[in-house]
Amino acid sequence: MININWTLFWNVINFLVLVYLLKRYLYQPLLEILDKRSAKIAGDLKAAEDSRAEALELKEKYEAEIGKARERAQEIIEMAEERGKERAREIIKAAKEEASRIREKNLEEIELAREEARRQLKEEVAAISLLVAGKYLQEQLQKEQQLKIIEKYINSLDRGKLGEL
Amino acid sequence: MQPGPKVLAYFLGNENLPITDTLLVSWLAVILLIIFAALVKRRLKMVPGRLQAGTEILLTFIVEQIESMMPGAGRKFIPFIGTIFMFVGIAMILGIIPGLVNPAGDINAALAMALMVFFYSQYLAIKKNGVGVYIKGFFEPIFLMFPMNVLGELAKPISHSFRLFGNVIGGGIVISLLYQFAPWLFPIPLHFWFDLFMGLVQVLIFGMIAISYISVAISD
Repeated sequence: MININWTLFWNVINFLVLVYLLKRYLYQPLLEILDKRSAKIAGDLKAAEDSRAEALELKEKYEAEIGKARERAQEIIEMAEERGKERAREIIKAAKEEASRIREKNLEEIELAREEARRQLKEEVAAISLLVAGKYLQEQLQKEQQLKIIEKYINSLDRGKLGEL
Repeated sequence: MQPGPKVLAYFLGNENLPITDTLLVSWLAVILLIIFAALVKRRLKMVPGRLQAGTEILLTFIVEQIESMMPGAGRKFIPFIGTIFMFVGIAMILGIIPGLVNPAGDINAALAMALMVFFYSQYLAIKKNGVGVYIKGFFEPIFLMFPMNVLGELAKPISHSFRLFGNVIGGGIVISLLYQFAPWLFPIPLHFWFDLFMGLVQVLIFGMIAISYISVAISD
């Protein structure tokens, strides 16, 4: 059962050969690939972390830009509103001025028209007065003439034709 | 019943150079491991297949065992320790195949590895601390302990190899006995118990002891 012999030597050779071959064909390549994988995983993780950080940075940057853009838009809107109000005020002011100018002009025209009417009325009244006076005078004259004619006629009657009556 | 290796032939007809069944299975184990290594190496990919993933798990497990006793030295000792684990492991698996014997059931195979561990650990101890400190270590704590220390050191490969050999051969003897008593009842589950489960436990123990001897040798 226990017989130490030359197979011990063969076993030593076996073992040494095996150590050499396994080291060369198994352990080293396998450990290398394990290291490579570790390095790759570490690299990938780092890259992922970097990408994440970069993405976060970009996100913050974009958000800041969007915020700025919003502020700017708000400013523009406020400015436009302000400008619009200003313009409206100007328009209203101009309109009021125009209205007041028109009203004054109209008042002037009315005044002129009134003056003209008054003047015309005066003239008319004068003319009518003259006419009435004239007519009246004429009438008076005619009456006197007629009375003279009548009187003349009557007088004639008295002399010539009275007897016939 | 005659447990243990059987001589099948003699190398070049020399009776001092026997070729035993366990030696043949050892060679078979070596060949299988080399084929296995070649297969794994040829299909190495960044995204591992099943074979590669399994091998990686096994290798990482062995590295972790080494690291648990010698932090940072896992990569350095993986060829030596890994080969012990893999060779003894495949020996145990081959041992349950009918018609094949377990090479670890031959003291020559177990002792060969134990001696390799022994010499390697002595070499590492001398390399690390120098010959002076190495020799001085045998006289610690007092010079009277020198014979004890030498014996203790020499006992290491013997206990190391006989633990493996004894367990394997013991399991084989128990199974052989049970074969004779109840051939139709016990053998198959017991084969798995003694040869595979106990065998793989022995692989772990044998490997861990090798690691501990080396770690003791390179410690201050």
